[in-house]
Amino acid sequence: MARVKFGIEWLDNMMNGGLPENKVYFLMGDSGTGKTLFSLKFLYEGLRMGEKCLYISTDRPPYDILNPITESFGWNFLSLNVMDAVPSPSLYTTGAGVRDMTAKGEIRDLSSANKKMEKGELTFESLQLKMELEFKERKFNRVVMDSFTTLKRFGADPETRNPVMAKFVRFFVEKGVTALFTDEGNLDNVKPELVLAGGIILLRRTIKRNMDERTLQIIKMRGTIFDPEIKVFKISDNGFELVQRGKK
Amino acid sequence: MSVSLGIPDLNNYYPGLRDNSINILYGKPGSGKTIIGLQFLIDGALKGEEVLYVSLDESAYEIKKDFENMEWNLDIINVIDAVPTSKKKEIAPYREVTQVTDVIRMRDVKVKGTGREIDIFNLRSTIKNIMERRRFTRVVIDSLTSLKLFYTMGVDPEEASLSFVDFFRYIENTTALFIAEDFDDLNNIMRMMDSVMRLDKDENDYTLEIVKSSYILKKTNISLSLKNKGFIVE
Repeated sequence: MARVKFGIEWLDNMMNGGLPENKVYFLMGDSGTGKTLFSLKFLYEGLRMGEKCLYISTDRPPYDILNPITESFGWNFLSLNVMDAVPSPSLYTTGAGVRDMTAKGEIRDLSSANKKMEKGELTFESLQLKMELEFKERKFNRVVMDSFTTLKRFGADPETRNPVMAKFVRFFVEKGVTALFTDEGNLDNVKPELVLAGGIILLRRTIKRNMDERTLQIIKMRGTIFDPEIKVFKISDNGFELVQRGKK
Repeated sequence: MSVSLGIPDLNNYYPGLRDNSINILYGKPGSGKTIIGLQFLIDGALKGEEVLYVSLDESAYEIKKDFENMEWNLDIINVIDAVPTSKKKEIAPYREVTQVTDVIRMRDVKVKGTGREIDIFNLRSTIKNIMERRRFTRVVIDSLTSLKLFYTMGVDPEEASLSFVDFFRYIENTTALFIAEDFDDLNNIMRMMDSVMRLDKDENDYTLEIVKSSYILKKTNISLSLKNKGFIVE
């Protein structure tokens, strides 16, 4: 099976050369563990290889996320396609809302995008419908959904959520995409994802006194052998550096 | 009579599953449960038995791709691909008693997923219909957790899965192996089972624990290692 690389040597090596292509992976971890940064490195590597990449953002407008990263790491995202899927304020109100079937998100090149977007509602089905249309026009090799947690919260009624989520994941597999979904929370409240995922990468961060330790662990990876050991890493100007640690 | 799991030398410690029984194998995500399930089926197929894999987690096409580097012949097993495509807009499942999908050989698996909407009830009727026509001596359901999470719209997942499992008790001459995730609440299910196994993975060490069995065992924790031909006893 062909491999899709992060462009982080130690991480790609952990899965014997990269993510097995054409699956949906979940990047899990609490807020501040680096999910977005890893997912953007994944897209940046794709762009560097000349692939078509899409970033779907549900928490903040894409530019608010991308610009500071470009500043800090020098990653050029000009050829990245982005979709602003931040739910509109009406979703946050308690009043009964009518769910429409049009996705709010528009895919556009980062260079030609502006901040004015039509407001709509974010659901699994509307987003899938929107993606369906987009895929008729162009194919994407890599897609990042940041974050899946937000989509899960707003995107489906509780009683139909699991099957709808399963379909959403299948959609990307059928389109031949290698996708990375960021997902918040501990392993106890993401049970459906654990089953649906082609692979799961778990990020943790421990801040104690003077110590700020970041770790990465592959929980599951279908279609390849993988290194299940917990790795310590740090984030610096050079990107993601593996910290060698003697075994206790 | 016992039915071998297909893991070489395992018989020294554990004879395998009872003939005509229902069994469960559970473990953490990524611990290799599907590998054991497939190994169990291939073992039967190589002995000339008719075997059936019910694919609920991943489409049969993906399963085939995942294990393309293994040195084993998946092509000889039969499969019911129950994974729906993303195409269908309507989530409401059919409740008819006709079968919704056919058995095919893994060899002929090409398309990704089935076009029909499958739920726990019509899957059961499908298997029932198929079993009336063909006799499968080994069946693997991968996984029960998936069945509860994604195929039980509008019904109680626990009750529906219990009756699904119970149904296999009444199929004659079939040894069924259910696969489940360790985070699933399996207390009720496990009570119904003739045997219970747990697969654990710690770094690169695998352990098969025989949690419940009607055999008298010398050892209940068996160390395994994963090779290109599947699991072997360490």
